[in-house]
Order: sequence, then C-alpha cells, then structure tokens
Amino acid sequence: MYCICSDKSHDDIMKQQRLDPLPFDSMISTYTCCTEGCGSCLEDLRALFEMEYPMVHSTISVKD
Amino acid sequence: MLFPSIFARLEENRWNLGTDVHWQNFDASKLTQRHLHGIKMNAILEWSAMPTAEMFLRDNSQDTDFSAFISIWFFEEQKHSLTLLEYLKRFAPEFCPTEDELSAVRFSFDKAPALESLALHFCGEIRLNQWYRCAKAYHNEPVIRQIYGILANDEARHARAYLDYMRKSLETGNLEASLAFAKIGVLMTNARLNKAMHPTNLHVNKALYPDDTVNGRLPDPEWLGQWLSHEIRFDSQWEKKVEQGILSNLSSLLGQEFSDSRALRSYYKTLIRTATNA
Repeated sequence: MYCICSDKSHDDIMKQQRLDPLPFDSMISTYTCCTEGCGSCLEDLRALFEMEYPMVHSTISVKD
Repeated sequence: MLFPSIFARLEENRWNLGTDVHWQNFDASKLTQRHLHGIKMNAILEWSAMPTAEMFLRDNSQDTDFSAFISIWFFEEQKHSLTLLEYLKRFAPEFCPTEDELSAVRFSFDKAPALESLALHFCGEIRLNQWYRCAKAYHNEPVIRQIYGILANDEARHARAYLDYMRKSLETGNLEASLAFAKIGVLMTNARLNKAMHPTNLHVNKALYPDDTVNGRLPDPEWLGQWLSHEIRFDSQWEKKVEQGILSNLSSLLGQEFSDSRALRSYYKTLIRTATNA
C-alpha cells in the first residue's frame, strides 16, 4: 500500500520504523503525514506495527 | 460488503462546515481577484460530482454495495462545492457562480464500462488530492488554505475507498478488472498518451461533442490549464507525486511492481495477450 498523504509506501514507513523504532503514535507523527492527512492508512499501519512489535504495543501505552 | 466500514471510516473524519472551518481567520489582504476566480471555478468543478454520481448509479445498478458508497461520495463532493460557495458568499459575493453556471456542468454522460470509471475516479481523486495540496501551498489567505487542506484529505479518503472497491472487483473478476485498472492507470500516468489526465477533461457525451467535457462547460474553459501551470504551478515534482500515488497503489493492488508508467504499460500488454489467448 502507498500513503498518498505521506508520499511514501507502507513498506518505506515500516523500514524507517525498523531503523529507529518508536511507539505507534510517535511512528505516525514522525514517519508519516497521517496526522494532518486523511487518516485512511492508520488502520493498516497499526496492523503492520502490531505484527512487528506485538510486545511493545501490548505493554506500552502510546496514547498521548 | 464494504459500505458499512467505509461509512464508519468517513463518518469518523466528518467535519462541520459551520464550526470546523475557521472563518474568523479570514485576511482580505492576502487575496487577489485571480485567486477568487480560481475558487469560483473549483466550486463549479466540484458541483460536477452530480452527473458523475448519476453515471455511477446508472452504470452500477447491479452493485448495491458500491452504489451505497456513492451516496456518501456525492454528499461530500457537493459539500466541497458548498464550502467554496460559502467562502465566496462571505468574502466576495460578486464571484459567486450563478445557478445557470452550476447547472451547465450537469449533463448526461454516455454509458461507460463500470470498472474503467471506477479506476478513472481512483486516479482522479489522487490527482485532485495533489492539486489541492499544491493550492494550499500556493495561497496565503488562511481560510482558503485551511479549506484546500480539508478538501485534499477528503479526496485522499475517496481514493482509498475507490481502491477498496477495486480490490473487491479483483476478487470476483480478476482478468477483466486487472485489464480495466491497468488500462486506466496507463492513461492517467502518461501525459504523452493522454493530455486529459483528469475525468473533468474527458469527452463524455458523443452527441454533445465537442461541448462534452466538464472543463469545457465552465464559464472560463481555459482556466484549469492556467491555474495549474501559471498560478499554483503544478510542476513536474507534483506530477511525480500523482504518478507515484497511482503506480504504487496499483502495484499493491495487482501484485506487480510498477516503477514507472512504462512498466504498467508492459503489464497491460501482457494482460491483453492473456485475454486474447483465453
């Protein structure tokens, strides 16, 4: 998938996340434009995030 | 059925014309007559969702799920027009289009292959998202900047919804759908093959030709080209973003890597050979 608001593929977003891992909300605000954009990719990105970081997501609250 | 989840997604992002647009931030000193002319033309262009919705409902009478989605799409596109009309009404009423000018872009479209129309509008929404983002960057007046930003996000959500329906079509009619999507993708990413590049530039009614494009029925038919090239300056960098948005999403949809329009064209030719031999 490709995020048109961020002008980046989901793969590229996850690659950046792998290089410098962040909690989900920080990943979104740092590596994407979804916060100011349309938000359609958030669900898919969360699924990718949860696949790669199941423990992080279940043990750390990332809600501001 | 996709409609309930798409409805929920769009409802979650619903904005209010009266309260979410910061009308109080208006700054008349940052606006020119030419800006206002552009806002008027875009208000009329958005109004042309009406014949498009009529076309979609007519050509998808067998698809109740997609037809239900069109109810939201139509509502949101008319809201875009209304938002721009409200801007003009508040700050430059002399630029408000007349009802006749709005009516002029409502005309019958010839019947078209439903899957191609779907792909065409997916590409059109990606393009419109970038046009509005570019317009936001171009304008200095805070309210119209905010409005173009809101509209850009809505168009991106529409592109995503169209993409969801394209994916659904692939599950039931793989080759036919792949052919339609690749064909339109080639046309919409290659300016040499097709200068139209957006649904509003396409001829859609043989009986009315040549007066059968939405842009041609604007009060200023030359406006869009001027606006893109000489005002907001939608240059090759912006064009690249459109191309990348279309090709990358089609890559994900069709399970192939399309690094450029040529790769998609080559894939399309392979599909044609497969269909011919089938």
